[in-house]
Amino acid sequence: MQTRRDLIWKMGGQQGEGIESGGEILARVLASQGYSLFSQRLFSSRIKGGHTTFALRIASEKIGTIGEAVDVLVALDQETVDLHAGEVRRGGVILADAKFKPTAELPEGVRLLSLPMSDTAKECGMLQMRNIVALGMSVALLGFARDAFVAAIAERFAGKTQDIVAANVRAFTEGARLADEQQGEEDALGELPPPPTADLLFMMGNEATALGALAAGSRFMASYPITPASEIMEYMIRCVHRLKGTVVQTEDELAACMMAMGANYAGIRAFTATSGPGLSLMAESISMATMAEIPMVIVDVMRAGPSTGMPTKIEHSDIMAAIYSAHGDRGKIVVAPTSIEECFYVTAEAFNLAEVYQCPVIVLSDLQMGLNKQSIPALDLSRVTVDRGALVTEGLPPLVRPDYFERFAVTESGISPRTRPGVADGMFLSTGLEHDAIGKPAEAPAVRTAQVDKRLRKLATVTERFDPLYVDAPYDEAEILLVGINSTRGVIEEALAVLRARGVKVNHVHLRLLEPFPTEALAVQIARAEKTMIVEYNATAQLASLVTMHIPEAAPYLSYLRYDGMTMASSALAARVREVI
Amino acid sequence: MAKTMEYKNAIQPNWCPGCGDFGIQMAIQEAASKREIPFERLALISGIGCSSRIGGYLYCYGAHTTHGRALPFAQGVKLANRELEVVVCSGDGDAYAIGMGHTIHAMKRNIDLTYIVFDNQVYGLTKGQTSPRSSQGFVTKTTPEGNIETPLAVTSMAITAGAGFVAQGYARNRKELVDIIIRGMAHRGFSYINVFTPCVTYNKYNTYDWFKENLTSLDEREGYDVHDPAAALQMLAETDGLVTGVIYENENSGCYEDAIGLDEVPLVNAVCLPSQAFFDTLVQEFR
Repeated sequence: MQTRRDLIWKMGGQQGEGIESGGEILARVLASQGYSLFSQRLFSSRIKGGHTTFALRIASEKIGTIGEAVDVLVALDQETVDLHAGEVRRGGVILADAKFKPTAELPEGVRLLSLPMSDTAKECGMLQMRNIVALGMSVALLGFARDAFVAAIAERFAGKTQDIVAANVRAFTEGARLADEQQGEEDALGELPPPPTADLLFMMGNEATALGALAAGSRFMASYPITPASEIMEYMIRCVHRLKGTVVQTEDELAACMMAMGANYAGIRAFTATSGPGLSLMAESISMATMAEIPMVIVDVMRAGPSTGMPTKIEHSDIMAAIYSAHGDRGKIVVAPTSIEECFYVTAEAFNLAEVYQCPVIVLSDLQMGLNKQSIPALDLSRVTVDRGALVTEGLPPLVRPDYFERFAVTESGISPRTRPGVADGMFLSTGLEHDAIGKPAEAPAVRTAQVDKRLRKLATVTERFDPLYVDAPYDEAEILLVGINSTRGVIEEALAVLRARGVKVNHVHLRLLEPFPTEALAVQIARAEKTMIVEYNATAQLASLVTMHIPEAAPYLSYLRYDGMTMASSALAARVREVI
Repeated sequence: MAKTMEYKNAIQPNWCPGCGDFGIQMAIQEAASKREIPFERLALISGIGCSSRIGGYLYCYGAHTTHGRALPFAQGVKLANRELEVVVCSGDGDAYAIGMGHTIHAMKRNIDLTYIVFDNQVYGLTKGQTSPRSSQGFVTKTTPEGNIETPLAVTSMAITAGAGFVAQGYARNRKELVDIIIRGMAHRGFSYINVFTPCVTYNKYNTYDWFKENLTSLDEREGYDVHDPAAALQMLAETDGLVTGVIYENENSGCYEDAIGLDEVPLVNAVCLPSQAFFDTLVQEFR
């Protein structure tokens, strides 16, 4: 049997039919066996009904995208065939429920296996188990050993009655048996090499983000539910009580941001998480955190805008909003993890940046990383540190009434010692008004300029402290440099492999820091390539505009944009690169 | 023990001479003094408006935040450090217009704060526009024909929103106001105190004379039961809310911190990395 680099499985149907839970069982088992996985859930912004798919790419080595050619498409309905039959590769299989006759003309070389999923599920107990029947069929077709799945199904339904567990196991086994019966030698899809014994985790970026916050010592979150960021809050609620912390679901994002800010002012590491609409509401508070120099972390898991836009679809259209939306001269930090593991490390470091630089830090993530589980290398807690910057709680010189502590002292670095309520000799006033060294409102021109300059000056060392770029740029005279943020890293990496294999000299830089902008570091990389193409999910080339603004000498830059809500395909990106070089 | 005057800092308030806010500030200072709150343990969180400038006038940790958002900020402060005495000050615009959502939710959430609203029934800092508390017919810059909207019945609203301590004071009646604030601070849970404070510059309708004529104290009501919410609502309807004193109290309402089992050791004393062992247990579910 031929050896395959990867296998891609996709199941489609109506929301509420167990598409995701079926896929989740498949993924869980394979993850525990050491396979590298990349999952992708496509869904509409509704609870029940509406077309949905769950795709899983399975490989023995690291993968960075969902891939493009489906090996097994499981269709629970006609719509799945209509929409996705074209994605099945030559030699692939469409596994359809026999309750309907697919009407589409199938692509060449694609076989249709029409099997009685609904009938089998009903025979085993109830129609709802159709996803489990389909899972059994899928596992048989994909050629994985079944014991582990039987165990996983038993575990998944462990809370239910014995009968339900038995019925689900039977549904799985029956499904597998039916697929075996139908399958001939010519149907074999090929097999994957055995996975290496690497320590992998299978998780979504939102979970990694929350875990990063916990690792950084955050025990408090205030948040308002929003797609696609709610999982951060849900994970925190699930775990934070074990560290004696808490999460408040606030009345709105205004409250979420202000409550997190108040908690930071009081001396803890609190944060909030949201998506575009919430970020808009938080703008006023973020502006106050800038003025009052209150550290805080705000996570924005970007989705398609403007307005409500497409809540369940990817976009990178909050780049400018994250940097510029709060009123007044800015004084904040915007970071962007380039992978799910970086959602963990960058979020953890964001808390240090917030405290060291005493300002708001926005962590920009995206829907693709946020919601879709992938296999990632084990997370290393020893890489996380807690740096509270210039926070002082003890050993201050005695304060004599009515004096205050000079919390906003104008220093050379721009960073002033910070105290918190409860510290006896550290009392100061905090205000969103312009103020003097003790926080007393002040409008004298000299005080004003000294405070503004101090707040901006303190950010000068951010690019030194925080590694602003992910760089994979082996060529000194590259034909092209690809630049991206967030989840485009996986797409670019896969395109890169193909292009480099063909001898194209392609460099790659992923921006991890957007504000303050790492002008110097990026300019060096831009200068090493003949052309630069900026890859992003939006219509107005926000990232390219930012690069143009900061590094005008090498402009104009090429753009590769996608804004239809779908993820980029590495083959299309590679093809585009070949066209432009 | 610090004296009342010692809770004042050296900053001169920018309130107009004769403003009721001076009286409320003195009452808060006196309550702090009587409760012997160390300066550094008192956090005074305010919003935006004339009254909210108070965040900069007491000798304590003062935070003057954004318009309408003092309450969520203060709730974050209290949850981070439950050893602090957190007093929140707003004006009627802050509390009942831009911040109304937060006001209602703070009442139902019931975190242990004392919320004092400086109610002058007009917008002062922006120089004389109508407020959610302005009387019908009140002529302001934005209601030249007289206010047509119904003034919010805030004390009734607080009872129905689930506040466990509802009181109303008058800036000129310091003795009663100090008692109310002390009781509010002692109440375990969210304490809400609306305080009438005449604006001598922009409110020529609800003047000191007007309040003298129209306000009555609950002390004068025989047999009034502060534990009976239905009777309180009835009384407020009969008096059009023009009463002072503790209107409603539920001593058994508990507070949010207790309900969620928040540790007595404040979170602020526990900012650290989790142990490797604990981290491993967290990560296990993703293997």
